[in-house]
Amino acid sequence: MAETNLTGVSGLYLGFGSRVVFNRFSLSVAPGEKVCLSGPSGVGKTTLLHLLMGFVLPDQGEVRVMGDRLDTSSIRRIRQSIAWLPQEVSIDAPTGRELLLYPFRFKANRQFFPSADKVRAQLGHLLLEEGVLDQSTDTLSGGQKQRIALASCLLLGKSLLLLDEPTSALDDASVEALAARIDALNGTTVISVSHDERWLRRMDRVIALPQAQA
Amino acid sequence: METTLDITWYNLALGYLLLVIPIAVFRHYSTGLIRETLWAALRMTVQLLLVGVYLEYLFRWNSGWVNLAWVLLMIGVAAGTTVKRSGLNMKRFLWPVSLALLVSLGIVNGWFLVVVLRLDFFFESRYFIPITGMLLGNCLKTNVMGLNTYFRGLQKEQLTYRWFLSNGASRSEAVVPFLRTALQDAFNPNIATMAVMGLIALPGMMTGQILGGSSPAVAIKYQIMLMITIFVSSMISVLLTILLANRFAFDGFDRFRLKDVIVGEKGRKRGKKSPSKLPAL
Repeated sequence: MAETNLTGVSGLYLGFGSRVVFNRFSLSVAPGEKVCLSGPSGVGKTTLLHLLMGFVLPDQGEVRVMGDRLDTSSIRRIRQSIAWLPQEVSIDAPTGRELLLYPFRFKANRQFFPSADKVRAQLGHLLLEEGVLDQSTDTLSGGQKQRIALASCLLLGKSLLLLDEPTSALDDASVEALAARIDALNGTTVISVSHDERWLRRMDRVIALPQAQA
Repeated sequence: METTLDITWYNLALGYLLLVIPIAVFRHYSTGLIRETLWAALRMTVQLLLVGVYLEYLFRWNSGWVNLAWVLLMIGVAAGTTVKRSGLNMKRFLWPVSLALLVSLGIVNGWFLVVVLRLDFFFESRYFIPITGMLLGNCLKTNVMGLNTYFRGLQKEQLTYRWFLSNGASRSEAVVPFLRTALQDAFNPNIATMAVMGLIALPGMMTGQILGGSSPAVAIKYQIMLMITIFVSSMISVLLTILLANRFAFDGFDRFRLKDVIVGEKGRKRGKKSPSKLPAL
């Protein structure tokens, strides 16, 4: 990773017990690049996202996020420049609006609190009606919840988006709309994890992770 | 003032016979709790008999140093029991729980004994020892509930905690929902008890005072004060324990140090299951 603003790992070694997930693995993603990590289940795709967020630490090797070497002094700064969509998240948000605006309660995000127009526009990009905001989260479909969480990530306007299976509950039209929205994000780096062919073909690059070794 | 009727040893034994009912129920449903119940009843009897003996001496000496030493010992035991029953790491949690109990009792006891009761001697055995004991007993229950909910919540909802962190929350913001749930779980029973006090429950201290010959008006005032002091001391101790524990419950990357915090189900015995009554095949 010669360039200072790259995101990725170099010389990564990570094992869980006798299972080696990464053995001298390196990866670098350029600023603004949209990539997708692929490979069979258990290969370490989600683990790699957790490595980039400092929730899993490598046994050996270096992790860099937008040029910043990940360590205890940089971790908070790094996390504040990320928006992450996990595969599933259960937060205590009674309505669609609270789900969408949840991250904006955090002090670091208050300055980005979106206007009603911005929210409406973002929902529209993801083919969501404004009415979902007033709906109880219990009555929202999986696809609606996923798109609201995606809208929230996009409204945060962070420079790195980490998306774990962002299309798992989306129909073809919604995948297309999301991909178009991601394409339009100039300068935002997107690292996603997906098995979905509809999503893979819209990425700048698909990175197949090496098989874990026993 | 009328003296309280004494209970003879024979009549006390008759009172114990009531335990036959829960034991029969436990046996019928094979709960595995009979042995624990009998052991607990035996421990309670021995402990209270001993309390009777040492309270006689503590009241007779009425020494500030002795009373303080006694309360510190009680705090140590309460802290140890809290940590054990919450299934937390004894080595790491004993001091924060002890310190939190000490601070909360210091504040609340100080206010009650000095400001409200206006005692000339703060360590007056007749007030200092029983009131501290009642506060400690209640802090223990609330602490176990609060610590359990907080740390088990972080254990079960690690993904949610991480989601908060990776979407801009600081660590102190990310733990707020877990702290909120812990306070709700720990204090809902206290609030419910306070709300129905006198309607469907006659509290122990008030009953004891009335049986001991106090007028109901005096007993009620003490009970009101006690409910408030229990609530406040429990709140301070739970909150302070969690805030102190947060200093070591997370690493430099704000990751929850599960292995250093939770030691498993030790000390959280639910009773051994009795062997099945089904005939052997």
